[in-house]
Order: sequence, then structure tokens, then C-alpha cells
Amino acid sequence: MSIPTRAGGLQLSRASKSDVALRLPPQSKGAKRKGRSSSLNAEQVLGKVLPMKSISVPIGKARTNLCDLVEQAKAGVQVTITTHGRPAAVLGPVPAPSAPWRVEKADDPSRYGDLQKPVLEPWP
Amino acid sequence: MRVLADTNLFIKFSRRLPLPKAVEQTLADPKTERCLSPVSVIELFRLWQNGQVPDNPDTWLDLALPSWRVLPVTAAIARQSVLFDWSHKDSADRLLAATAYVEDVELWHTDVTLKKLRGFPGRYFVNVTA
Repeated sequence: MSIPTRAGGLQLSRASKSDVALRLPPQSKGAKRKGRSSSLNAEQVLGKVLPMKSISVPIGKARTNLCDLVEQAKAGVQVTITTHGRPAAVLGPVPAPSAPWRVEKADDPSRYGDLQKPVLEPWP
Repeated sequence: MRVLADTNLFIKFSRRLPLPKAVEQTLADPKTERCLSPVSVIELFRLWQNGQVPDNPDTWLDLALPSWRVLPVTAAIARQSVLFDWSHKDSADRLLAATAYVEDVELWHTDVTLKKLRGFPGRYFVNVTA
């Protein structure tokens, strides 16, 4: 996965043991010579670029690590499960319950008729 | 808690019309799973066409629906709606009761006829009008 940035791109890749590894492109020679370095570390940059942490896992590994993946999903990680290298399904956190929508200002009940009046044809 | 609201309660809750206190509190609770049958959407539009609901539901229904889990009318629900051994002939009520039965969710309603019928999980509330 590559995300274009001014610096030339961040790369997310699967590491041998961890799920995701982050690589920053090497600094230019000019920047090194002048002693400049990025004031943000890789995770800070990633946090600014990605709205939600996401990882990609082949279905075989997902099957054996399902409990771990569910824990990660609960923590907010979006897990994309792949088959033959292609995204097939997404495991993500269940959205937190929120207050239901209602009209802001209560309607005037006198504008309403009989809401219990049968409106479909009755059975013969 | 999981509740299947009938059409009357759905409209009244969404439009902040008078409701029994228990209904008001439970449906407003973010933890409540509010369920709705598509049959209620039919009834809502028919009520609007008949002049019982003043505003076109198209102006607000899409805002309200994300707060509700719509339980589709499945083959099992359609079957059950016919097999209840009551004489009640309102097809909408029969489908709502069948949804409650098949999905094992309590149907909250204000219908005095449904109140007398058995064979599905239901809870009757007095219809508050003012």
C-alpha cells in the first residue's frame, strides 16, 4: 500500500511477524547534508494521513487468528481479508450506539389524523 | 433491549408526538435496538396519502431510518402471517405480529385488537393522544 505524500510516499507493508510495518522513503541527500530531519515520526505521519488504522490479512491467516483480529477490530482497526491477494471482506468495529434521529421540534398533534386506521385492504 | 415498534409508535416517536413514558424512554435510549417492519413504511405512506399524516414522509423518513433496523419480510414471516389462527383480517397487523414471532422481538403497539391476540411476543400501550 502506498500513500502519496510530498515527501515521496509512505509505504505500508506486511512484516514477517507484525501485521503491518511502516517504511518512510529515504531522506534526500540534500536534506541529510543540511542536517534536516522530519519533525514527525512515522506513526504521527500515518495518524495524520489515515483516518483509521487498517491492515490486510489473507483469509488463511484470518482463520487462524480470528480472535486476535476481532480484538483489533473492536479497538478500531479496519481489517481487510483477502482471497488470492484481492480484498474480499472487511472486518471493522461495530459503531457505537447513538441517539436516534427525531424531528427537532415536536409536531402539532392536531395536524395528525387517526394513525391506527387500517390502510391496507382487509382480507376477505 | 430489542423492540419492534408498530407504525403508530414509529411515527409518533420520530415526530415527537405524545407517547407513553416507557415507550419514549426506551426508544430514545441509544442502547435500544429499534426495529421496524417495511410494512410500516407502506402504512406511513398510505396514511400520508389518506391525509392522516400531514408531511410527505419523503422529507424525513431517510433521516429516521438509520436509527432503526429494518426487519425484512422473509418467506418465513409471510408464511406465519397467514397461519395465525385468528380472525383478524388486517394484513399489516398480521405481518407485524409474524415478524415479532419469527424474529423473536417484542412488538410494541397501541392496537386494541392486537392486544387480544396471542401467539407472538407483544406489549400493548395505551394510545396517548395529547
